[in-house]
Amino acid sequence: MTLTTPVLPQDFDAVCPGELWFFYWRTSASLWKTKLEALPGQYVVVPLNWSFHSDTGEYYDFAKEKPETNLKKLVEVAESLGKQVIFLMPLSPLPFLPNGGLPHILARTLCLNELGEARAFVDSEGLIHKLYSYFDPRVFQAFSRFCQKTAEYFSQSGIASDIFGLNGRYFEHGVVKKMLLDRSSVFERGFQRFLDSKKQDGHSIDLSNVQSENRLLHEFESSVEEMYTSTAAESMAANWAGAVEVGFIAASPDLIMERIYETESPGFYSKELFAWLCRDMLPSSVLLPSRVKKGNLSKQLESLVTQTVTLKKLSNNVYEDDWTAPWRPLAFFEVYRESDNDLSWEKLGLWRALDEQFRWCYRIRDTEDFTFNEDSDLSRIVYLSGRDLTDRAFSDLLKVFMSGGRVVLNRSGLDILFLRRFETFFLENALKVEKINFHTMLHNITLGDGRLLIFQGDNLTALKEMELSKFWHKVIETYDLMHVQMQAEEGIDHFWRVRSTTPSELNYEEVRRLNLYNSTSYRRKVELRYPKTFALLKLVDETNVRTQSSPGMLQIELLPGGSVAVDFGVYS
Amino acid sequence: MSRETGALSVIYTSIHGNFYITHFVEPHGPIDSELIWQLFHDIFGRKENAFPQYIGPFVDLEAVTKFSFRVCDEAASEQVNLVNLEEFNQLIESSPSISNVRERLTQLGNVLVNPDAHSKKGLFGKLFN
Repeated sequence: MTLTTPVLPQDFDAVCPGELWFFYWRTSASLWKTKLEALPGQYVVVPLNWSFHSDTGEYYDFAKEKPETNLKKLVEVAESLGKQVIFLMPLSPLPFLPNGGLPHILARTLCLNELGEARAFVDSEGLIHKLYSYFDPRVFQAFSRFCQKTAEYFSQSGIASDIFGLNGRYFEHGVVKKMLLDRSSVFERGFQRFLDSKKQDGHSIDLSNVQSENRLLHEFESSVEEMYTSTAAESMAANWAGAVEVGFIAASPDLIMERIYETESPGFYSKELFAWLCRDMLPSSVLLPSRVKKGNLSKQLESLVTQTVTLKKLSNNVYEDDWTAPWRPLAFFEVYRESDNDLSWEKLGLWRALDEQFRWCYRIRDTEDFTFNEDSDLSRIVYLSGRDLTDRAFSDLLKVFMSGGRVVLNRSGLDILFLRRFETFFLENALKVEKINFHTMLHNITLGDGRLLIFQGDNLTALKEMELSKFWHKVIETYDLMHVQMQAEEGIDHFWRVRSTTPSELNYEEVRRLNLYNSTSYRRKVELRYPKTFALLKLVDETNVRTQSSPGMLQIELLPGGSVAVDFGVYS
Repeated sequence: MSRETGALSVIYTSIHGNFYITHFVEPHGPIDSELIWQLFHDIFGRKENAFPQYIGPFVDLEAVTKFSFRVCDEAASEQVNLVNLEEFNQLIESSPSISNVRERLTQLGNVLVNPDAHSKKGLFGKLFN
């Protein structure tokens, strides 16, 4: 018999830190049932803690010595409570674990950021976790072994639960970064080997300017991330359910001092949460201390993450169009950009304009992810930069257009060959090109429901902020988007979601829900004006609010800390 | 006087030949960067900065030192300690918790003592004391 010292939890939050996550190593296995009973819902999200199963990366403990490594028992306990376990396999360092989750013997080279700062994160209990390089070949070899050992254990013990790969993300100066990021000497050596190998393969290497160097760095980072992902996917094929990007709230190094001195504001984290949702990533609040995670922030995490995106991201059983499907974030626009550092739409004033009328109702994606397939959502207006267009993206753009989708294309920097192909395409299909001169030359082409709006972005850069806003408002107006107009006093957070209708709501095309939160210490007013094609259905979860309605209008007064959700049925 | 009371800490780094301040903290937390920027602009005017998340650029360490002392004086603080980024990295690497970082940060770096701290109530002092 082996004596172990179980990690006794100080409180529920340490073991169940939010969004259905469960840290099995932070409590005694004998307490798992009690803790899981208190966790709401049908699912339990369990990140695998590599260093808890191995000190060295060589020898592995799965249910041999420490009882808390018995994942089979964890699954059985959960199932006895009617819950399904979803495992997360870390594909990058994790900011809530010592050494980022690496077995201590492998924690050799501290990760540095681009400016030489040590990459460290503060967890919910005020502990500082340093990340160590995943670019070390020894770490990769040990990771492969961890995957194999986990797969063997799952297979031998008959665990059928899904395993998702977890790719960590965080914000730094408003830019999304990979948790994997490192610029230490180990990274530099790996990058040099990558460049050498590219040269040997006959590729020309251009390091003459920052942009091309950044592109190569990004390519190297992505290829290493892909190596970790494919290794995990292959080793654990029987349970593998895909990889998911998790955005860790409060992981921004910009706020490291606020976290060290515990002066952070919950209001900032609300905005970070919304920003993760706009990037279609799964937000996680595991780094937030419970003193911050309360009030409206706690409600937002529950309704927008736990009830809205967690299951959509992590369950293979929930289909978006099923009438039982949960809410999903509402988006009218998909804005593509080369990378998070790409400020071209920012310079054109697009974000400001969208935020004025459709705050958080957009998705921000990387251009390389732009694609067309039969599942593509054609209801959203797609914004693309011609500068980033590849051959594949160009043909997908035409497919979106021909299938009834709407695309706004900035032709600045567009290859002349693509312009010629456009001309040929318009001629061959006898499409009329409508030309409008409004600050810049706009070419508007329609085909059935499809619409392609091409503009010369360079001509807009000289405009003032207000003029740019006006330009985009005029453009957006032409799409006749039906939505509720909102006027809110400063300090009100809001987020829109949408769901399909239930059989009893068949009069409507969809139901939209507006969540409003007053996180200030003052009374705040919100006025909603909705068109005739909208019906006010109900108010949900009213806390410290007063409302007054008249035809086509709803006025809401939110007291300090107040919140409410408003449901609208939408007719076609 | 205890080094922990009324002490400011400055963390600085050098990038491409210029110096930058990455963090400026007083005993209760980071100082509002807008206040620091305001003072920077008053002294140096508006300079092109490739790293807008940091205060700077400063031409050399002496300029960082002088500026830091000026902030210390405006804040009527007793001292300011200048910590380079490598020292700060070592502190982070060797600290298990945030309380440990808070305790040890003021023990690091070169200390500049402000003898006039008690006789002056500077602009910053009025704002955050």
